[in-house]
Amino acid sequence: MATLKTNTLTGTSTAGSIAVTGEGNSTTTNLQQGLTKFWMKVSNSHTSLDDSFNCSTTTDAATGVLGGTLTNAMGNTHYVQHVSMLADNFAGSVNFARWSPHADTTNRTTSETRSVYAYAFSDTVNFEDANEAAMVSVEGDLA
Amino acid sequence: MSNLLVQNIKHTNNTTSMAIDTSGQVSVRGEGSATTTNLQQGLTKAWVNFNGVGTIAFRDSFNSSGLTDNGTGDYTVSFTNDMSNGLYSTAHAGGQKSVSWGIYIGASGIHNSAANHSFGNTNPADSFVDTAYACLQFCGDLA
Repeated sequence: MATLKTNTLTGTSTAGSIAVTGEGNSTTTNLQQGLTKFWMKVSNSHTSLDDSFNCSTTTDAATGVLGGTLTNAMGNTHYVQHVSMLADNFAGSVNFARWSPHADTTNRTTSETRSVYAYAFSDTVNFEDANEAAMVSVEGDLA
Repeated sequence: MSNLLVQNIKHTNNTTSMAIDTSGQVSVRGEGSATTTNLQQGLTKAWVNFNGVGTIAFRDSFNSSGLTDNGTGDYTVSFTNDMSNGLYSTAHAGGQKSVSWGIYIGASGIHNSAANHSFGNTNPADSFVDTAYACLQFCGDLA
């Protein structure tokens, strides 16, 4: 059995690009672009992280509005993010995890950044805190 | 191109990080070191962030070759390298930029195939609407 001992794997043509053979063995996929770059689970207090990856802090910006800061920033603002929530304070209504590409909750046309974003939770009308948990994942290219 | 023929990749302290089986599948040591996970199946196989209003266009994407506007709130994403079947997992998110933090519900299943994925965005009133920010993530097996 051949064994390679190393601390780092680096692409030869591009350092941050490694091809991986796919499940069906007919094509390859990019290792780096296939990795989730950030995820976090925010506690029901909205101020602390139950668990996270590449997340330095979370911010309780307002009722139903949370922010997150990436430890290592993305390469651009066009990353993909998905949000979900757990809540039991939406009696008789539908729960939605709203998504916003903007970190500034009062001026939503500015403040797109590569390292901070905001998202919000609401029923059909109002912002509401996700009183059980809030979860976010991000895919895209790192800086 | 140089090839390195190995079955195991270890840290220099002799801790196994990855093992490669005869079909090229890679098992990766888990965070808790109690089990392993499959590298190929753990990778996101495609993701897209696109503007679905007016002339639709990718902002950024991975393994996605094209976008089709099928009608109001109705889109198709084509893959560069196909999936092995149409049974992959898809996560949706979307929103608007300037008017409100609009909630849009991704409705998959209009048409799924190994080569492309069609989906719709609806508002809470169940009407199809174009979305300025659409994010999708695809997980599954490549062909």
